[in-house]
Amino acid sequence: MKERYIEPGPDNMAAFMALPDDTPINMVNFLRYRDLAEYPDGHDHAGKGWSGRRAYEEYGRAIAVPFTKVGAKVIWRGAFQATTIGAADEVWDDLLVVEYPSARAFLQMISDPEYQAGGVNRTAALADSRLFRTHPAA
Amino acid sequence: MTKVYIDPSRANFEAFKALPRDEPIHMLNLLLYRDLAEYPKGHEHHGKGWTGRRAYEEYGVTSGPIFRRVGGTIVWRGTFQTMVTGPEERAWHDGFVAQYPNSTAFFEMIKDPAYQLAVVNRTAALIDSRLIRFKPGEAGGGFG
Repeated sequence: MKERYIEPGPDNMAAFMALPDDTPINMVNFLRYRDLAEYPDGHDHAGKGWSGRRAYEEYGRAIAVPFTKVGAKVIWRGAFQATTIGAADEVWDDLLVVEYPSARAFLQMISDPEYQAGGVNRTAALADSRLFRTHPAA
Repeated sequence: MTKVYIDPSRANFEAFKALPRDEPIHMLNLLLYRDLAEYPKGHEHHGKGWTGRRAYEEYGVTSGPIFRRVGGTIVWRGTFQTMVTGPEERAWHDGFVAQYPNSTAFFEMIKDPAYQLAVVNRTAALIDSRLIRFKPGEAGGGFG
């Protein structure tokens, strides 16, 4: 049984915070959607029969304002086709590289109440994910 | 102990070949270098005390002309800083996305005799790696 990762780990966030906060960062997002989104009972979108992909689209829409406000942009996007080097059962749906002007901008986005309300859609959408921080190389 | 991967497996290659051959592909490379490169005995760079990073640079220099000849370009490059969501012990050194005009071009590169000499530097350089094929999507806009 493989472990799933949806939210940042506390030690990981501490490592993130220890890095420079004023230079551009590229966040690499690996996404695997649930077949059916899993919203908490009573949520607006619970019981609509949405796919995980549909819920992730909703996440994109719901956080668009805080995302744009901090100056974030998607600089690369790919639809997973196959693992060539790695475990044959390592399977994803989509990969996104998002550039933020700084780590501070990223933290500002995720602490925005509008972002936090929208984040429910992400949690409902994903079966597994990875997120790592890189700095853009020349 | 997590398994490490340096070269494609046969099963992975079969899956690759079954995919469309006539459209652009993006290959995400994740790299973890050895402290010291491990060249086979008798190789011209064996015993030079090169780091894994230095050996990977050599791979870049020696494979570059073939990469460019088949139409390869680099579309993204990043230096790993930290895992945020995922196992905290999982680290990489570098990542990049290479674009090829189609998978035929990728195969042309890896079958080239000069590439096969160059790739010895890659094997010497790495302690772990991933290579994942994507269909390029549109950048711009937000999540979702």
